[in-house]
Amino acid sequence: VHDWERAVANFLRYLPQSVERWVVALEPPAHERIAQNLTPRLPSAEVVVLDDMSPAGIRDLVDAQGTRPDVGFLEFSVNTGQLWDNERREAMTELAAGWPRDRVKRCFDVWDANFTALFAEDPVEVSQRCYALRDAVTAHPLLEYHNPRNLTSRLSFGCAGAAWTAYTGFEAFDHILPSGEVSCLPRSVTGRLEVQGWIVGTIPFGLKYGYVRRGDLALAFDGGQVTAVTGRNRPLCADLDKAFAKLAGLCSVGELGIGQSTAVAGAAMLHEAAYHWHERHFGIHLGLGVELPEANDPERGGTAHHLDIVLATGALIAGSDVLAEW
Amino acid sequence: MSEPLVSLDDEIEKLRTIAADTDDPRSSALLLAVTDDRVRSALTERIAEGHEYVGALTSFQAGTVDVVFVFVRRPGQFGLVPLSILATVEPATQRVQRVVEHHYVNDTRGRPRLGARQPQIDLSRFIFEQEDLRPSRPEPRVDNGPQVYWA
Repeated sequence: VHDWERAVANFLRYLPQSVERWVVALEPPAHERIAQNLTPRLPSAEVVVLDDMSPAGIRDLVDAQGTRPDVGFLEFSVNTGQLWDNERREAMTELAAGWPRDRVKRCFDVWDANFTALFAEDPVEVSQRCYALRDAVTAHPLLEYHNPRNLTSRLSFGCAGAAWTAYTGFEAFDHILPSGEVSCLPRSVTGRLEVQGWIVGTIPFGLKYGYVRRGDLALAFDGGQVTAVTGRNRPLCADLDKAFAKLAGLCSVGELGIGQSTAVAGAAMLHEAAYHWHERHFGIHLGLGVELPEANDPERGGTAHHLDIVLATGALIAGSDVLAEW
Repeated sequence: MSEPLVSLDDEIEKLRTIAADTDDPRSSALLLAVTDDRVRSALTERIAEGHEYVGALTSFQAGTVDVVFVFVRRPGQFGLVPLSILATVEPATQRVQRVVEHHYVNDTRGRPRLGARQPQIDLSRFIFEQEDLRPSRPEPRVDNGPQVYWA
């Protein structure tokens, strides 16, 4: 009971007070306890089940509610590996685009069993950590990752002049919860990485492979590109090779992210599969694909896909300073 | 009675080493389950009764892991009571939530669950271009400026 009270209180801190009424999208039965504990604490709430709505109904919802400045949209959804048909996908895209982000909070792959763990932390403390870290990393032109338990894994990031952005869930543009990370587009990435962690993103590697263990996958980087995939998990390597071959833009490192959520770190092993929120795991992740603006044009070989390689352990070093160790 | 116990203890020690050396959450769940007194007692009883141990099944649910110790009767031995033992482990609290000493194995097999891996997914279905795939952050790529809290 106390866990729920605390988690709901933490969650509510993310919500803008300008919103007087929330449209809450839930997927029963995954969100029964969330509905029970959260919706009574909102100023006013209308619960909808998007899966039960037609694409036209979803569009009507956006048209009727999305433009109202006092109405917000709160979404809880779970990725089960299903692909939507074109019509539903377009309606969901309109839903995502049609509602101003400062009145939207979306919780992908958050459900009853992980809600209290994912929102166990005071979001203001996470936010303060993010801004302090952003200030600290901005001063460093070169960052290094290494894993003390695995000395063959080492990456260098050229970050001179890179603009670092904090995503804390409180910014008007950051609408994905749980939040908490600082990221930039690195100028260069070189080295070798033995992946020990999770791969999440627009292609459901996390759902298929879950936790990637030491030795299963190694990636080589040069000039900000993935140049080689090796490892003993053959199906995983083959799937990645296939993705890189077909989506050339996915080879580009478009993001160096530094997750700041210890709550996500605590929840990371709750499930066998890995989810979108793993990228907020305390420590670094490398975003491949879409975040790199120049790689975002399919006509130029870019891609609309994005994969995050989230590292479960390691250290981020700047010169003689250890900026983060996890 | 003493021989099975020694064997179980040996296996637990081996498992402890493996769980410490690897990151496999299945090993950790199995170790948590097998070191629970109730599970240990039931396992010892099955072994002592001469039932054949088939192996352990682990299946991940939302926030818990079901570990099923599967036993079968030896050929020709009659019995109606299910022999397998289910331990539901909660990794977050490092506790065994419940133990079912006579568990019907098929009850927990092959049922898709939230949080479970889906190794059968064909990722090729997702490896194609489409616009606005990522329901994600915009890319301001600028400093955030002063902090503003709504809370």
